[in-house]
Amino acid sequence: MAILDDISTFLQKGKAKEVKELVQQAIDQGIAAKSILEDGLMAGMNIIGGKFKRNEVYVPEVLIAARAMNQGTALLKPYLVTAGVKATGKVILGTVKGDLHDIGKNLVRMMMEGKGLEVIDLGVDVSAEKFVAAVHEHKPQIVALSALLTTTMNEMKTVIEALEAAGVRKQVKVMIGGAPITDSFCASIGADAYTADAASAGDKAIELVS
Amino acid sequence: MDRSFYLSLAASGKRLPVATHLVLHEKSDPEAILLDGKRLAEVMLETARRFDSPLALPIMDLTLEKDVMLRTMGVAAAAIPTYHFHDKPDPALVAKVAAMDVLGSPRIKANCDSLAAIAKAFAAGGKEVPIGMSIGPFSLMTKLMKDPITPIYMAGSGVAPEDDDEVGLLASLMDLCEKTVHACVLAQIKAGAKAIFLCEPAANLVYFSPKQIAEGGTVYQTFVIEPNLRLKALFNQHGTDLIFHDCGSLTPEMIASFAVLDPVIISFGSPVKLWEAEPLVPKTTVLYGNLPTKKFYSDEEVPLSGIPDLVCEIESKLKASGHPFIIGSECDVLSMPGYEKTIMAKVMAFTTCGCGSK
Repeated sequence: MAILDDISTFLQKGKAKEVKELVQQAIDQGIAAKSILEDGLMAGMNIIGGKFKRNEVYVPEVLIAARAMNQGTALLKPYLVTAGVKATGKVILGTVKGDLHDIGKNLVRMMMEGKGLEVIDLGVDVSAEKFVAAVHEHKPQIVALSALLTTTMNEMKTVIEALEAAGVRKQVKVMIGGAPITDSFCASIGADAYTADAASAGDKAIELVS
Repeated sequence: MDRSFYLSLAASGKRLPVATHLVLHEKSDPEAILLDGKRLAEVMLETARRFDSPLALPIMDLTLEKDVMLRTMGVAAAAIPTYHFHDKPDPALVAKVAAMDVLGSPRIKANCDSLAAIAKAFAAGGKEVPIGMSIGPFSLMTKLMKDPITPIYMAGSGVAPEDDDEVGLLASLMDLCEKTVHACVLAQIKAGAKAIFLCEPAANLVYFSPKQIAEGGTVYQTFVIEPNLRLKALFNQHGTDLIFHDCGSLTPEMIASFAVLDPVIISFGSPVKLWEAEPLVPKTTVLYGNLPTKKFYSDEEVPLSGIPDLVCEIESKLKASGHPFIIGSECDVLSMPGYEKTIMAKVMAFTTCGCGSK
């Protein structure tokens, strides 16, 4: 449908105002909310994610595209609820205790939301106890941990140990990421997945909830 | 210092890490030392001597400037690390920051005391040059907004501060950050710093779109180069040298734009290949870096036995270019609990090894 292609195109350009107007038009035309979301908004965000992975666009372009997506999604939300459209899966996300960096985490959130996942973002400097409490409260399939510093990455292990101690480790997959993280570090702390960039984190999350 | 000092240091072939954090955390009470200028000076000197370096460097703690700024503005200490501005700061508070005595911060006071102690020893014939440390205005600003990237992009698209609240906030925070950094740097210069290690790690591909810059945007000039040029003018007034550090991912255009700052040393992180950056940097500026020290904790990523080849690759390529260089770390080498010996062994290896199999 042309209008859904237009939504995707304007989203990729970060034109939030136009995306909002087109989403409203699509709603008014009686196009199913699920289709507007998946074939318009998410389709555009997936293209941006792919371009980001290939270094064809950069973080600022991803952010303004995500902003356009958020505005379109906000308009769509009541229709999605009415139609009973549910998120593909649920993710608890946060930067670990002692670490205040949030750009990488925010990008991961955008990429995951662009894949149709519901992301509960706990913010930065999040303690292991808060991650455990969020797992109890929200029952996610994934806990995603971010750290930028070598001095804070060990906190990821603390979170995993806390999940184990709380008896919820087997209920979730733990994803980790951040500049100093490596596959071997991931294996050494017993996490389930490490991805090197935000777009790959979105892909991996979909794989893990499938 | 005369520029020939840095060029001679490069010509000496010494390899120098930024490793004060690593040595500090060998002590039983690092937190107490950070508040004690005399003891901090001892750690800086111990670090310099361990690696046979004439540069006495502080730790690269880039939180101090935000802390002193917000304390001056009356923000509660506990709220400072995650504090973000949502509205333009009150002009009266901005004026207060411009006039603040940064020595009211115990950490900055200790840093300045340590510089003063090293400067005194240097004046008396000591070998170690006191070097100050500061975050740059742009990187400081990125810590003050929840999302600085979108307004930077909008500003780069031609949106004026008066036309958009976020872009307006960005402009006013840049002004606040410049005033803060000027105050922090000036205190260190007064304490005796001969050079300042000025860190702009956020001036990178995450915050700026190369597409936008390639299309003719002047956003990088506006937010990174121009504020740092004004800071450089302050350095020049006081005869203080600029060591410029940016450990982020950078485009060739970004690297080339630093030339106007005329640093005595330019320090890059491992995302930049020094031999590729070399043609973009004037030969009067010493290239510094940039072994992947952030991953030194990992024997899989950076095995000890692989260090000589990493060193040799940079050394051989830069020697061929004729550009003065110093092999070093890509940032402050941080002490990491449980990995201290692993990291130190690799730092010792890169400062002392031959060129391996090559």
